[in-house]
Amino acid sequence: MKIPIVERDDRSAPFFDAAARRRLVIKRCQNCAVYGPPRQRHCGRCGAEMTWSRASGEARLVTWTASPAKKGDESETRFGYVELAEGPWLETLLVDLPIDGHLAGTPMHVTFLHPDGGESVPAFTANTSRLAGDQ
Amino acid sequence: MPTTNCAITGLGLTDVGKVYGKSAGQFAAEAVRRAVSDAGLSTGDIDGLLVMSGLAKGVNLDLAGTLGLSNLGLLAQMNVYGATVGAMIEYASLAIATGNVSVVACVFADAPLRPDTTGGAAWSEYTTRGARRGLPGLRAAIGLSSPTAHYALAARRHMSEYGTTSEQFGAVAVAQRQWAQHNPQAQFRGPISIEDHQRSRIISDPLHLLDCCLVSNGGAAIIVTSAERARDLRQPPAYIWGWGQGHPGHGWEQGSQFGLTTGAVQSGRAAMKMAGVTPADVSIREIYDCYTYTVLVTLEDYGFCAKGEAGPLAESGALGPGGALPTNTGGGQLSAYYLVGMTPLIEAVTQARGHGNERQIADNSMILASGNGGILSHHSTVLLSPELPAI
Repeated sequence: MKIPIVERDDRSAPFFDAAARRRLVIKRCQNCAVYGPPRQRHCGRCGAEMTWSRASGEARLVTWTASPAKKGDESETRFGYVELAEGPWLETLLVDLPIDGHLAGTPMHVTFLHPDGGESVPAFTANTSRLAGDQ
Repeated sequence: MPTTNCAITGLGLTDVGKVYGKSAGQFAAEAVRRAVSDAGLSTGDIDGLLVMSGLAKGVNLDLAGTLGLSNLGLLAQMNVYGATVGAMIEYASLAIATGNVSVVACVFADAPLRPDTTGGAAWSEYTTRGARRGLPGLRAAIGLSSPTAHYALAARRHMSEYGTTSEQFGAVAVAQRQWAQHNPQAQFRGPISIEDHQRSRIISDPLHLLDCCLVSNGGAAIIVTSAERARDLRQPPAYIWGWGQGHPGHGWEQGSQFGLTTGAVQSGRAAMKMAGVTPADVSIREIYDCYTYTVLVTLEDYGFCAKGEAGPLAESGALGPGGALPTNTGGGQLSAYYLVGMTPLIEAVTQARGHGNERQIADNSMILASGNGGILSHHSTVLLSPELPAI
């Protein structure tokens, strides 16, 4: 799997700060309380500014793909969309997702990767035993 | 709304594929010159020009100067991604209907391929640029940097929801290669089997190499005029019966239809309403085929079959030569060449003229050409016929 190495910028700093503390944050409208994905800045319904809000980390798998392992990778990289319990979809790495048998609707849980040389990032897993200790 | 009573009267296609040594702008100029010549016109007759760039850029308003055009009443660089060509025909027709212009050239050209790179590498150079910073950087870093990854996610969702299989995607690739055998302009004409499709390497699971369109250098242009003017020109007119656009704006949240339905629902309905036809009246389909999956979901959205039934339809052989629903009769972007929306449109006009030779469909009374772009976010439909619309 390819471990993503990402640098923060001002706008994403709260997201990566939260991930370093093993918390997933997304956006929420200050006015009408609907949730949005992390990149959303203004509410699609009322136009108000959205602020960071902690998400439960519970989700269901919507769809996934895999990029074949390249030189230096131990295994292929799986990623896709999960639907958060709060409603928004999140594009995410998927870890410990077996090759077969996991279809749309599989319950997923947030976990965190803390790569050397990059920011901590959330990932999702179907493996509940993974939650005790993140990579 | 009735149609504007216009026609496509000129076609210009340069050499396409691994053609080196020309810029996109040069391909564009050559395509326009070929199109006006094909129509029996001269470049001085052009009074409207709509241009579209691809990955390599370089097709822009300067083309008017390159072609020495000094009489333009309409000029624009357009981008609705893969839906652009349909939108160009719409705006050209509307401009002609007002009487402001009478001969509009629409052109697309690109030159991303170089002799020392593969098609995939050429694409990646354009799509994975930029630092891995912030949330957009995270998106790219996890792998969502290529169109193929996005389409793989869409295709997987269709498979999960409707039971569509990789072999059914393969049936699309096989049928289009069968058509390509009869298209001398196709880059790939050698027959392939479902086994070849299954054995081709995975690009983004579930999409194999043979699920993906080609990468091509080249240019294509069309000439749009009034139906009246088209009647007196050199080529049989392809009359424009209807058009439509659809921009579904898939929300990335609960209830999203991403991967399940596309803008073809809206754009197809609009085009068919304008033309006064139903899917059953359409005798030939030229469907935008960036991937095999796109053909299946688009056929469903147009109403050529029920939702979820396009996979079995492809498997039955209906889309290929001799099938009940001839689709992508020139080999499409999977086997012939990739010139974005021009590929389906050029084959649609070829069929409307009756110039398909061995691949010509006897019943060419109503031909649909589609455009799709922006990862299923933008869609256009055009309906053409060799017969004049009843007004």
